[in-house]
Amino acid sequence: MTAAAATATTAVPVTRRAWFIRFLQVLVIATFIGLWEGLSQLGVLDKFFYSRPSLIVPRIWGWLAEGFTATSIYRDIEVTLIETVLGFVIGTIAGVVIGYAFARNRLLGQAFDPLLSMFNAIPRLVLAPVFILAFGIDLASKVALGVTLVFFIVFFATFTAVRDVDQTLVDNVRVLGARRRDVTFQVLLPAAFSAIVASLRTSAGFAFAGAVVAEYIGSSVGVGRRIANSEAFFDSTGVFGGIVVIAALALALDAFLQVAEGWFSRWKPRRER
Amino acid sequence: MTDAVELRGVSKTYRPPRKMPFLAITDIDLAIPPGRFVSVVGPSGCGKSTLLSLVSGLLPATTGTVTLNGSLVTDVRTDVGFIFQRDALLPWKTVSENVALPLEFRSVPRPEIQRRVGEWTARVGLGKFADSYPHELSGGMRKRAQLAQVMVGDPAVLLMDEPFSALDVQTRNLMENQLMNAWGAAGKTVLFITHDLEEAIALSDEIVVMTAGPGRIKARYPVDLPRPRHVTEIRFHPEFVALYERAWADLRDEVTRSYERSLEAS
Repeated sequence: MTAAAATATTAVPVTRRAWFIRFLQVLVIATFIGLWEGLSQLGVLDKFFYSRPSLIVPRIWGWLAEGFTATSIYRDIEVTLIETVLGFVIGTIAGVVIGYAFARNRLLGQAFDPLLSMFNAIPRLVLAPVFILAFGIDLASKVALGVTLVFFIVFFATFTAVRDVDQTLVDNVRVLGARRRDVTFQVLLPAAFSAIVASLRTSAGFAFAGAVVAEYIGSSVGVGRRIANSEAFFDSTGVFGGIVVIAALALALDAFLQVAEGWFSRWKPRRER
Repeated sequence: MTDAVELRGVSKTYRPPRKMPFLAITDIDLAIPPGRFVSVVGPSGCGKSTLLSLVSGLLPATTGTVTLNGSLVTDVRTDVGFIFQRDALLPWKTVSENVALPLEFRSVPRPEIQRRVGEWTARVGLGKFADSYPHELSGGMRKRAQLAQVMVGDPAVLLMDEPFSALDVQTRNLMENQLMNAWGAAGKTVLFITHDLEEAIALSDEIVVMTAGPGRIKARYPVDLPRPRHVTEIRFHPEFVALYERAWADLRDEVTRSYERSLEAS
């Protein structure tokens, strides 16, 4: 209502300002790419290390034009995305189940607290070599790294949400006739779900990062593998091409999750979304 | 006829972990016959809200017995309606989904749920807001939705914990009048907690004044004002004024005592 009123009275300036901001954003990106290209052409930036946009774009175009083969970029993207989704889903399920159990059972939580804190303190990316040794260079090691990254985010989100759930909500449904099961499924899990949705974009981003890093360290296929391969041949254009593909995937993933988050948060006041 | 609510020799001691236990209420003897509207007034911290937790079974009494609708309270009771002071609607459910909850818990058939939910959301004037989420409603509307949620299950006893304290004066008077109309029609027993003596007298058949904590019953006053009442206009009735003066003399001492204690503690 207030938003509609604001648009009605100030429609023209608001749109004009929005366009101006968009113009500035494009300008900043164009300047960045232009500087890169220009400094590289002038020899200030060494092409060997930093490549240049005019080489990177055709390279990516070449990858895309290659068509669907076992070694194509599409296969790499497919594998990376599968690893991301599996890491995300398994990590989330484990985080919810264990986070819920620990929040509901104080003794369990207290007993496992030091161990979990210890694991959480380890920068998880250093576990990548361990997982590659243990699970091999295929899918499993990439998923395992993603799971350890996602698990802690979701675990803490669920644990805090369930532990700190408004007691009035619980008391109210109990007097209204809720059984234990109803309290779990109508109050505690929805409260946790809302916290998980809020951390959705962070945890999915971590699942993606986990997959790419593990691929980079040891794999036969995937976008991370493509970067590692290029690096092995001192092919900086290939490395940057891979980075651009990763950035594009990450942006697409985030845009999709933003829509999902909005849909799941539609019960929340706008300022809290 | 058995009393709807009966407390005998009830006390409640809270034992928070790593803190001193403290006695919230003690020596409570109170019986409420069916259909009676009883208000409990007292200074803040006198354990008024504790009374409702004990009657609903959300908390066990430390000593004494609590009886509700003729049976001893040993666990959470679902044959009462509890209107909490704070917002108790589930924020991720719409008004009609919230109102449907008690019926779903009782596995009432779907068509009947729809009928009763529709009836009650309309009765509290939220028909147009059935599909709205709680945050989209005003404070008064959320309270009405809470009332519908409780009433749809048709409880014999209503427990209300300062239900209107967060509302502005106009909305509050409107809600009090609506409550009077609904109560007059339904004949339910009501145990109403408030710190507002005027509200207590305007609504009730009887008011109970409590002492500063640990809460004891200090005095009980029957309210013999004519019904049906208009809660704003009844305040000018001579008997209202006389009763107010007597009860306030009791309450004032307790409020002062409670205030002095809070100063000592800080």
